[in-house]
Amino acid sequence: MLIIAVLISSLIILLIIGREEIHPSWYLPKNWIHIKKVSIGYGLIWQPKRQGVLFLLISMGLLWLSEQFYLPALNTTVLMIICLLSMPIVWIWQAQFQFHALEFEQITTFLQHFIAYFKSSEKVLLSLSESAVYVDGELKKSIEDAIEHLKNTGDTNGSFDIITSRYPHFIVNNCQIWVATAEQFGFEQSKEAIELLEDDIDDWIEDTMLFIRNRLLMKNRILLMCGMSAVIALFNQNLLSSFLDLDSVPIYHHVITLFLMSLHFTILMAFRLIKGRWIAKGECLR
Amino acid sequence: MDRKGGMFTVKGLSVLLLVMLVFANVSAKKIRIRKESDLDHLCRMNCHDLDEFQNSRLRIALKTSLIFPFLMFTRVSWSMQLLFLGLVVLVYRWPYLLLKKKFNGSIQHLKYEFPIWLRQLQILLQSNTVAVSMEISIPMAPAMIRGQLGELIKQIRQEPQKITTYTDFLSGYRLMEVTRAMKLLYRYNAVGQTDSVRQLNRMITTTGKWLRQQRISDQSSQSALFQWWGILPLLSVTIVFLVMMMVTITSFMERG
Repeated sequence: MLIIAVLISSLIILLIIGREEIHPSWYLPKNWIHIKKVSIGYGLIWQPKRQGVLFLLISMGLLWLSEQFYLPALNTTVLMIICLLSMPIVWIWQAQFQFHALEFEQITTFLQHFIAYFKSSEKVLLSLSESAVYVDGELKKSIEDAIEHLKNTGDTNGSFDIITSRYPHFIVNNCQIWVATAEQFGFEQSKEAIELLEDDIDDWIEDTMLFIRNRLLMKNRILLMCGMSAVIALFNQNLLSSFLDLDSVPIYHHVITLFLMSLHFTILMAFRLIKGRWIAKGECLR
Repeated sequence: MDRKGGMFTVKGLSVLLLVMLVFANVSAKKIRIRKESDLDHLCRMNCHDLDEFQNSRLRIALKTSLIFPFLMFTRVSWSMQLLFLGLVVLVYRWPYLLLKKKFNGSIQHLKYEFPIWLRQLQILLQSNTVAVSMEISIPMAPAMIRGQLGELIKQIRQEPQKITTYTDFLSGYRLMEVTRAMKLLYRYNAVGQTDSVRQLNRMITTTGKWLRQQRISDQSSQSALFQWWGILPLLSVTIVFLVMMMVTITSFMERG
């Protein structure tokens, strides 16, 4: 039974990982350091050990609920298996949330620092080198490649292409246009465009943060609804148990099992809410 | 076979023959069926041939109507036959509805993509003319705009003082925001240098607001569906409550 559960769980995990554009290596322990870096600020902590403890607590809570609802051992086992199957999925969704958060934070940080350095130095190579210090991971690699390309060929557009192909957001693209224009016609000609770009980046960050905050709030509201429903069902059951022997009513057991499964499914959906992209696909040009 | 059954068979056969006859000579031109008022426009925008589209959906609807003779053979009630008639009408309307949905999707897409392209243009306009800025923006322009951009540039080069050159751009989508922005671009290109910076700044402010509105509306539409998940636990607890009530009533009735 356990082997089948593990197999199904692995299959679901593979399907989830395969469908996403995130490289599977992101989920490997060597990358957990990046995941942890951005975790605290967004109200979610991706720490496998803590998640293990959380899983134990949820299992114990489920056992307690099963006992409260007079569920037979078979129904409890089914619920425990479903819980076991879905925990890795929640882990993966949380890791995806962290990936998108990191991706967004990295690119916005890079843009802000690059524009600031370019405003003062008016030199692309210097601005790229200085702003590379503030980022890491895939973006750092792209910036280093861009620097290398610029050193070898002196082609600003080509070096920026390396970054825009990895992050095809329209603001990154506009930054490329602005840099190319400033190089061609001089910095004075494109001063007003800097303000435009800076305003766009600020708006982008503000709107995205608001969106994520709303999603986290929505997730918490859904979890609260689940808790409230469980409490209402418990009250009901307390009322009923005073004049009925609930141990011997099979239909009641099945309905309660389905109810707990629906709660579990809703909790899963609440976690699914936060796994989406922070950089909207509609705003990307490729 | 009784008399009534015989009548149904004759009726059924005659309908079958009629349907086959119509089916053999089917052509949207021969059978004049009232087409939707915006179908011409939808076909043009989605690159469909109107006659071909009409013939194809008429043919599918007639194929579906072949079910009627069988309904008569099996003596299905009139209400059911009316229901199947509704089904045939739906089958006929379905391709149109799909076309309309596709067009509406394109409009939503354009509403998001147009301000993005306009922003690119505004940055390029700092040091280029309108036509040159548009030309530079082609490789980076969103896919929907890129297709018509080449034609627009060609027309601007030929007739830069003609306002319809600008207002005709993407006019098939009938978006007020696009027309307004194109008129501003025309004024920026046509009005003298002293006023042009003010015109551009006005357009920049509008585009900024537009971009944010589109982003926020896109994010809200993404979240709107998920909000309904919150109802599922309440719905489940209601079902649990109802089942418990039923169990209680049954148990009381059994006890007498």
